[in-house]
Amino acid sequence: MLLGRVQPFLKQLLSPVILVLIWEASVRLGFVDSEFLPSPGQILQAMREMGAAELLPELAATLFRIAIGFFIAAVVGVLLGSWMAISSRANGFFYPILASTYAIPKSSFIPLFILWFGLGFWPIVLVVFIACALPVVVYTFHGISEVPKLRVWSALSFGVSRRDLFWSVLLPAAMPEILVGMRIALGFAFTVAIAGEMIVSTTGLGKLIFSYGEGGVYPSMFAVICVLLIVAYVADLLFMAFIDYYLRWLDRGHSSGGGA
Amino acid sequence: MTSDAKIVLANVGKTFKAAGGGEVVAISDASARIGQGEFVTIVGPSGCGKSTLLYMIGGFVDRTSGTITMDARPIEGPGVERGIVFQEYALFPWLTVQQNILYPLKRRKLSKSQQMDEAARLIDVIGLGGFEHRFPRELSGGMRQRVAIARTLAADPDVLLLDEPFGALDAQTREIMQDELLRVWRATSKTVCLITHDVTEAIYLSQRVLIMSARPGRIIDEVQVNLDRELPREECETSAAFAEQRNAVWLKVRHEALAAGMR
Repeated sequence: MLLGRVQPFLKQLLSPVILVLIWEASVRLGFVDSEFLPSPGQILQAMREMGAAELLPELAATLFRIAIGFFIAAVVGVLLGSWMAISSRANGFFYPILASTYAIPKSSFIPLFILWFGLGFWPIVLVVFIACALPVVVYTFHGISEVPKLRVWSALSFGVSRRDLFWSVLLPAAMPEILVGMRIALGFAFTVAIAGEMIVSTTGLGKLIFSYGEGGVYPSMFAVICVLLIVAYVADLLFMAFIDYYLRWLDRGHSSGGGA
Repeated sequence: MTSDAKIVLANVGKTFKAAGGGEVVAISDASARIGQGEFVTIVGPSGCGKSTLLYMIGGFVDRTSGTITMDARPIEGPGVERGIVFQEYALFPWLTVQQNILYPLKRRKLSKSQQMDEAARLIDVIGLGGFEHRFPRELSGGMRQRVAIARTLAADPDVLLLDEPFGALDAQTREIMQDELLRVWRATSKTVCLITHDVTEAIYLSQRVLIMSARPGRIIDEVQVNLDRELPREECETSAAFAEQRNAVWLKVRHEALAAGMR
């Protein structure tokens, strides 16, 4: 049982382990100058030197900004996406705004947010919010729009109000799509939070990466990047586990989205 | 006009906008009366608009012309007094069997314990005791359809609208469900309107069979079914009277199906 659960996880580790071995070997054999690319061993050493005392407060600062921005984006994104799916007037009004920001790197808003909110917490939260809201809106819109009409009709024949219909049928039926949007948003959240911290923040992993990079302390810089990598990967795994549990009713073998 | 007509369709028409512009007349000038407590089936060739007609009685689809009334009041939308069972895909897959059946019960004026009792009774009726906490994906097609029927019955509608509810079931399950439907109908005096393309099913279940023409759909004929309902199923279905009435309806439907094929 346990082996069966661990095995796919071990398989996932295969390619990173090979990559790290090749990396270590290239530095040790002198193919790469360790001034430009420190070896995994040096990075691990730097990580030990920094320790939890230096890393954890910065990690907590970053995760807190991501959590707040992501949470607000999830709530606003689901409500806005639903509204656009239900009302063609709302869709007509908001669609141009959303479509026009689609291709813009969200971190380009940061200078403006600094102007509005100064340095620190809010510019980062706001840019995380903007980056996360878009995929949540888009996937919620599709999820709600594609609820099979027979399910809606069934509910209507039980005398539900519009509000009841939304909370008891439209939203749960759209959850598989909404959660895909949120998973994408979570990835965006890490990307823009780090980018934001590199520009404006005095705390957070992004700030740490930036200052070690500027100071030329590359093993430490890579150590922080590794921490970030692991945390982002674990966050995604946890979110996937949550999705699997939440959607345990979903008939994944069925292309029409959930069976009878 | 007799006073006990439950549902009256008068010159009902439905026109769809076609994909490439223009219009498709799906139903034209359909008229029928369904009596209080009557069990009526509507049969017709595929594509004749029988489901659309049922959806209009349900109030889910707007009619283009004519009137549909229930208890002499025009139908202008869905209502709890008209329950519907679709062919498939209408259960809420994120709810368990029990939660699906509780869904309409929670929206009736019942106490918590009455809701639970009624759900337990309905689960017993459809023979799914032990499956209360399963999700629809964990059930066979026949079991899902039994849940869908139980869920509709849980709303306690006056009128049951059934859109080929047994079409996707295997032969044995279909017979069991047909007899269960007959039992519920006899026990509750609900009005039933069933759509089917299975003529044997229509004769076995209903008091009256309405026959629809090929598109544009219209009620072109009806057959009053006279069978000895006291007989066990196998004797009933093998009787001469059954065969005679079945053939009469079958010939009329076949005539329409051939007419549809020639267009």
